Amino acid sequence: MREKIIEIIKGINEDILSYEGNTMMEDGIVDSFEIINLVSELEEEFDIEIDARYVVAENFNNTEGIIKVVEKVMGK
Amino acid sequence: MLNCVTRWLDETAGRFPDKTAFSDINHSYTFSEVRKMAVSIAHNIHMELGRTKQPVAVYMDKSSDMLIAYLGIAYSGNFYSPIATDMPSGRIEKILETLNPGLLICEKKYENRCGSGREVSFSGKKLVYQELVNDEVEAKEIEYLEDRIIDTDLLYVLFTSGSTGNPKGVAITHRGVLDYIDWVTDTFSIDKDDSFGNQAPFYFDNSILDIYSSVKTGATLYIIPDELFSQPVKLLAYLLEKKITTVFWVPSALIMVSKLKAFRNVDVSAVLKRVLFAGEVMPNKQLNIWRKYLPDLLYANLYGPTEITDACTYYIVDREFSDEEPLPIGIPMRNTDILVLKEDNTEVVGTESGELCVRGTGVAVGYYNNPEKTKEAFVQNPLNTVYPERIYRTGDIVHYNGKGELIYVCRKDFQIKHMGYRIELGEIETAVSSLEAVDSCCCLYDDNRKKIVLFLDKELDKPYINTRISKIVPEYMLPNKVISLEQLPLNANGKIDRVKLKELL
Repeated sequence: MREKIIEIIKGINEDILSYEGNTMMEDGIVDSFEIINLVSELEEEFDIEIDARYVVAENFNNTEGIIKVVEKVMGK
Repeated sequence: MLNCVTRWLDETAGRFPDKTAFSDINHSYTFSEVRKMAVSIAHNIHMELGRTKQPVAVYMDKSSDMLIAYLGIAYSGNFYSPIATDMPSGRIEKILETLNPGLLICEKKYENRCGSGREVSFSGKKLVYQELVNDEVEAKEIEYLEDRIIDTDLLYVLFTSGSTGNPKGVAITHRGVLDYIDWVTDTFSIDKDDSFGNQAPFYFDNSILDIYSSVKTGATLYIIPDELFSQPVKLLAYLLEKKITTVFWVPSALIMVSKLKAFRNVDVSAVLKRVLFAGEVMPNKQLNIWRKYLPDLLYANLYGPTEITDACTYYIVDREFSDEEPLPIGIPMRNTDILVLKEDNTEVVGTESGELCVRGTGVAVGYYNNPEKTKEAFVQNPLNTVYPERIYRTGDIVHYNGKGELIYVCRKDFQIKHMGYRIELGEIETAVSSLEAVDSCCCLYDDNRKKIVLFLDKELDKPYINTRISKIVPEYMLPNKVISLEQLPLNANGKIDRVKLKELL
């Protein structure tokens, strides 16, 4: 699953993968459209629905944060 | 008849002196405070410049104070031109070269950034905003300046992307804004009890609606922190907390909320009344989600380039649309006329497509200090051969539907709308071509994924390109994807074959 998420992130914006901080949104690494595309592709790939309340800067803070969101939604 | 927009502030500050005018995360100012500070700025500008009708550059972060600077400049009989603080120095240089302002107002923290040979290379007089606002100046002391303004004088110059790499400064008059805002507040019944949730940057003309509707009516303008536009639940919670009644956002911001269905988490139906949008195409699929969750709001699609004081047509959503149907851009606003012209400069018949051209008081006087580009876009109305009458050719192709409403079809050229920003793909290509390592390049827009895609005939990656061109073009113009090919395909005329490249998206 981890590899698949990383592949999706790479397709959306590879700068996320090389980002080493934990305030990705505030630092302007991603724009709102990339967040939408990322959520849509993760939902489609894993057949899940990511509730909008998870889409906050504290969760979408870097690659590990995104992986944790998917794991949480999938109940892992 | 009013001669300038500051008359609105005079009246509103008199009627609602203690009501909040502008509010951001750091400061809130009442209308009387805004007027007092703006008058103080005007006094200082006049002391320094001693002349009117001069450009004044504003180098400040987006804030309530930036709006006060705008109003102070307007009171002084001069006109403002914002320079974004995150703009690359190469672009700033081009803008300042065109504008040649006698004065620049900056925040204290940017004082050392501005000056001869610095990041904001400027040889004129620099004033620090914080040092301008606290003088005890009676409004009547600057009244004579306000009296001398006529409505065809400039209020602002906003710079937009230019295909050759040189930004164009759109020059707008007080009259354009007076007429536009009168129409906005009448049509949408805006009054002092309203509050705006501002999204548009203050160097983007969508902000004109928020700023001057507030100044005219006494409504409060809340500057929404940028980071909330990637966090839909927090964004709606903000609207609820501030009791925002009206938003005028680019569709990208609305789509963020609808795609993630944030309405299920926060119900804003008790406060939000109007959702207006402009700047790019609003897909009905997304609008239908908004309408499903918030059926009682007024939704309106506004259309217009910067050259027409923000907008010139509108459509108030009054019927159901399927997800695939296009949303009309509607009918002309008051005091505006739309001509849809074919290539032979005759008007279209029935549902034929043609270029949307505009005449009316909102049409810009032209591009500042750029007669050549002005001549190309602002032309004599070809349907009027008996007296001089200027129209603006938008470059947008439209047609009428069976109901007499305009429908947007496409651009005539390579201009795109990305995240609400107007971008000439040629400007990105010019920036990339200036790199020594690049021989040939082509920029396309992937409409489905909303990405700027750059094709190159060299093995260079995105970080390499973007690090270098970020000194020339703003961040929102940086390619989202870079595709390297052995060579770029050419068409029969020997030009880069954009059709073939589009197939690779």
